[in-house]
Amino acid sequence: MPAFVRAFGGDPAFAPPWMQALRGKALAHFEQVGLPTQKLEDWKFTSFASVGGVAFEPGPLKHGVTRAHVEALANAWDSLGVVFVNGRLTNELCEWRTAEGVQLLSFEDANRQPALEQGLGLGVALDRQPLAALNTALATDGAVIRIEPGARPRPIHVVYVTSSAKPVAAFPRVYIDAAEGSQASIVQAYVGTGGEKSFTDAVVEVRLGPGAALDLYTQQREPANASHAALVQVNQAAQSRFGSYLLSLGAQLARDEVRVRMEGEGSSCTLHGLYLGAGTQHLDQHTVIEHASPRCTSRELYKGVLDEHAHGVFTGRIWVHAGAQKTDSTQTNKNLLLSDHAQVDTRPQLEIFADDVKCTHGSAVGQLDEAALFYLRSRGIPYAQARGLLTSAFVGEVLDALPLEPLRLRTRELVAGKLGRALA
Amino acid sequence: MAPLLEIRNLHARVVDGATILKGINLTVNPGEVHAIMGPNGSGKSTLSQVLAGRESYQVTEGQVLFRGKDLLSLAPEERAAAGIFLAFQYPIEIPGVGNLYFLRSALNALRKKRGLEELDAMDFLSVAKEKMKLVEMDQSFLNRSVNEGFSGGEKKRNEVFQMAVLDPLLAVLDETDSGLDIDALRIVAGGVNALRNKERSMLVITHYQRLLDYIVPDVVHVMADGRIVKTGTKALALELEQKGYAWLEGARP
Repeated sequence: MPAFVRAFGGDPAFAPPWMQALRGKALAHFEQVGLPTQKLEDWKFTSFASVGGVAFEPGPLKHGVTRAHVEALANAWDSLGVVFVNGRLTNELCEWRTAEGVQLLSFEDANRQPALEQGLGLGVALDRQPLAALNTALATDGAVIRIEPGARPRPIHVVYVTSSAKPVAAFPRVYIDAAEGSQASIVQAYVGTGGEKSFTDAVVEVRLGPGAALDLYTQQREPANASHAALVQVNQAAQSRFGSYLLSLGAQLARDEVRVRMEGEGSSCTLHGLYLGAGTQHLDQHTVIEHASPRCTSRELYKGVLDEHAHGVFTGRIWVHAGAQKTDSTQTNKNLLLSDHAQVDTRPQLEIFADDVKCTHGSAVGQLDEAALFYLRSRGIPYAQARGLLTSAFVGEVLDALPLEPLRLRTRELVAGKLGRALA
Repeated sequence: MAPLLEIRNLHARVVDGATILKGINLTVNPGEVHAIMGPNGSGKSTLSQVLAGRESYQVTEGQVLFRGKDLLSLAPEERAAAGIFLAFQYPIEIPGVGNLYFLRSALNALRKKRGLEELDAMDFLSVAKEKMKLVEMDQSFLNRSVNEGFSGGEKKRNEVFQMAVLDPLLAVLDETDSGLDIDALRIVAGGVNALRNKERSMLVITHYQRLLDYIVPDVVHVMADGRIVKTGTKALALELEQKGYAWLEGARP
């Protein structure tokens, strides 16, 4: 077990017996496996062993982080909903929106609610997911976001900030409960003030009630020397609709996992991702879509652009259960390598146990089209600009599909900024 | 009058491959239209690509002067800025890049290099609308991705439209007639003719004499096996039409 774990010991004072038991079990599982390395099948191309050598600490409670500071860091266009500083829910930076049908509770406030006791950690395979186990064992105060039945609130910002003068590790935990017939968008941003090394290990659990709709946007914009791991674990009831829109730009080492279980009949999910790596960044995208019921639909599109010595990874597992007839599933992963030293590993994994299904998948790795580049340059467009145009065209498909307009505009700027730097 | 383009003893090959051009000599004066004819594989298209700066070809010998200056050391975008335009035989489809945005970026890049002010979207649109009339192009083309899903004729019209907007000193038209029916050929040739003036020169590369009925050249060259083997007037093109290329075999410059 890495040495820094000891610095985080002890259950929070409010933790009821069930929570203590869950944390104890999670720690035991983590101790067995340790930090994930390429030895584990699910981590074939990515290792978090490097994290074990850093003397991470819990980090100060606020470290002078203000609301304005967080808004600027997160590029938020609406009031903040939930703010974590160094992995801990920071109440005075959060906004309660009871009037809009949103309940926001800390784990301390919610720990006596049977919903949290019954739901927390459900579906997270602690024995096979060491970083999720580590989060479960070490998270202190998390957040419960409950969208009331039928509610349609404004988009809710969730911001995870790291800020410390010493190496800091953060274990934020969020539990989203989208009740029957609700419709909401949640915009998450992982950011940091930079400087010292940081390690963020987040778990976000999502329950969608019957007919609920939730779009979850994730902007991974960690500082350059951050290690980042986040698991989004989703469970969908009948006729619900879930969308995940991931933008992975930051961190030295990042692993973003989205695991969706379509438990109820007629549910649908859309998983989009864009990962842009440069320098020596290692960006790992890992998705699992479980068709556990008949007549469910999944749409998956991930695109990667890797420059310099960056390494991208995409794993997309589609698992269709034996009874899940009339499954309709598509998966596409496309990668653009901008340098001879950039690298990508793409692994589509289809496991289909039903016979009446429609499943297609495709993956591609390529370089900029030399003929197109010459065509643009022959018209007078300079090399760097021509490269930028073609790269923007490649990622445009994902950007154009972002349903939330204010975010689409901000995301375009972020992407242009990152590509501009990479291409300069 | 100083020549616009001088090609001297130009040899070129595919990078790490076969030698295609084996000593081309050619001088084009301002305002002249030269046709280059020849059988398939004679090196006509290679010559056009080498002039535009395609990096998959390597010049092994000789030189090219454009307005008296060395052309071969320039990058493709610098050649465009100097005033060279290549109308592609097979225009490239670029999904996701809008035709209008592409062409405005190109024109502004050229204007910047030439010390002119860049055009904003509105000003550019009025320029574009004006030039589209030359090739009877519909405005809806502007909103589509570059050449994506265009028919053969639409692609060639788009090339001539780009040429009209970018206003080059030397236009190299590489088999602009290939794949065109007679109506499309008339429209494309009409656009090209409207752009003829006493400063602008053209190199019209074609396999068939037909195009030269519409774009009447001042000089006709015949290429075979990487060299210009015969030079003459428009009458030479008609002779080729009657006799075919076989009688040129064994001919030497």
